[in-house]
Amino acid sequence: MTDKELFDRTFLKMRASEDTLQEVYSVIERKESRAYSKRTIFMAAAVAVVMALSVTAFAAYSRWSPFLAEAFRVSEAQQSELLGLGITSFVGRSAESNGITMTAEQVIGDEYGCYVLIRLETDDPEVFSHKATPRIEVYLDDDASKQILEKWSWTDWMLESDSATMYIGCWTSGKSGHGITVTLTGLMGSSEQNYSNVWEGCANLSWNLSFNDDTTERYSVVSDKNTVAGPTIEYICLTPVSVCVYYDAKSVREFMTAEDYTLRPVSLTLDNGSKCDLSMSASRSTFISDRNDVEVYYMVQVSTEQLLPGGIKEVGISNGNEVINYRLVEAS
Amino acid sequence: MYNNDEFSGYAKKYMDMVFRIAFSYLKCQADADDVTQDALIRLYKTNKAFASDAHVKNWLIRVTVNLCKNVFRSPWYKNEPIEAYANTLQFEAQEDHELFSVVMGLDKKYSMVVLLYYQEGYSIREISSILRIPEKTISTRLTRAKAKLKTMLTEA
Repeated sequence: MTDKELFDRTFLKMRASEDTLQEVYSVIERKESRAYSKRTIFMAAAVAVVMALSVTAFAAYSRWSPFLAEAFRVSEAQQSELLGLGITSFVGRSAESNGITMTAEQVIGDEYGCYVLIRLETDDPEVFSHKATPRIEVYLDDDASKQILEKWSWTDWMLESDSATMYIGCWTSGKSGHGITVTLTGLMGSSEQNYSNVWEGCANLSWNLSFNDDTTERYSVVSDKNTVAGPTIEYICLTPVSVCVYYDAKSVREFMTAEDYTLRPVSLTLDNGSKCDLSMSASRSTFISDRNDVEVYYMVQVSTEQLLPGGIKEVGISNGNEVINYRLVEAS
Repeated sequence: MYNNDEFSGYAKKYMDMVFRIAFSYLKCQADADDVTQDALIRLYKTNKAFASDAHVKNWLIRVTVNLCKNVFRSPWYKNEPIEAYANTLQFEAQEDHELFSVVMGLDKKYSMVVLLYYQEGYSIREISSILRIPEKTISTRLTRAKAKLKTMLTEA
């Protein structure tokens, strides 16, 4: 039996409900735009109850973005916990310019920086056509100046026949912001609407994360062997969304640049014995305050549950020739 | 906009396919049924001039995926245990049941590509074009999905 025959035999059993077509015709006859789902009907019936519980309703509205939850591997159970810690906040403010609406959806961060998820929506799908490769610049107004934000990832495109949505994730080292400017260059404009191929939107989308110091766990470490040269890890800080490695570089004979530190492979040994590499591309920043005091910050690469106290047993770091493992001994 | 006979023909021909794709994304029968209805309503209302049956089918898949994304983002979305639905399907052989559970148990980005490739018979290039995802990504997803399926089916 071929793969195709096996798949046909298995998956052709899956059929839409018998009343699907009937429901569709019913909607068409009523001239409504869409069918009411069983879920929607249930929700309508429950609305009176939900209205009375406005706090609950707010919690449901302020739902984590699936993109951020996936990027930071935050389980559903942990979402409200992180919200309570002030690690994340829902901004939800919008501004419109030239037919494109920009919304800052959610911010997540710790003392090392924060990630902002921006949504751009338009009724003209041609603007974000997949043929276009827009260049994106995102600026943040903080108290002192305007800084360009690092684009952290494309999270998604959603193109439909009558609308298009684009998500942009950005990283900033600041904890707060007052306004965001997004400039898109190289858009595909439809001829009817005469879009410029440059779009700029600026909005007052303020946020401020209110986490306290308790969200950062600082661990002393003990290495499994003595090193003769190269930087050693002095201590490690874990937050629910990041790992920051602090180096002691007293024994380093040659001057190391920030990039040299970033390129050193770092891996985590988790509580269950599995290993996870912190990729250098996820390193967000390296600070060299002086030759002996260096810190490298990584976006979280494992489930936030595993970053909780006790979740990580060891940190391994390669100096090019060998991997030295550091055991986490105590939190302070 | 179609006349009723034309629409009815397409709807009957493609509604189960739409349902399968929606289920592979949402892993929930009720939501997959809702998306199927919405996709068909969009087909009825669209003024798009389709060049062929294949064009209609591709368009429907694209619309289905977008509708699934909307449902997935909804605050009320919750997937359900696949086995509850699998048990209603009355498979001919145990291996069919296992294949269903394993494929639908994959992450949505894998299960959808597997369905489009093996069941709908699309090539990697065609899937790339329909989903608007680079060919290389589709190819990687398919390779990973095959490896996962192999491991899971061996263990099953």
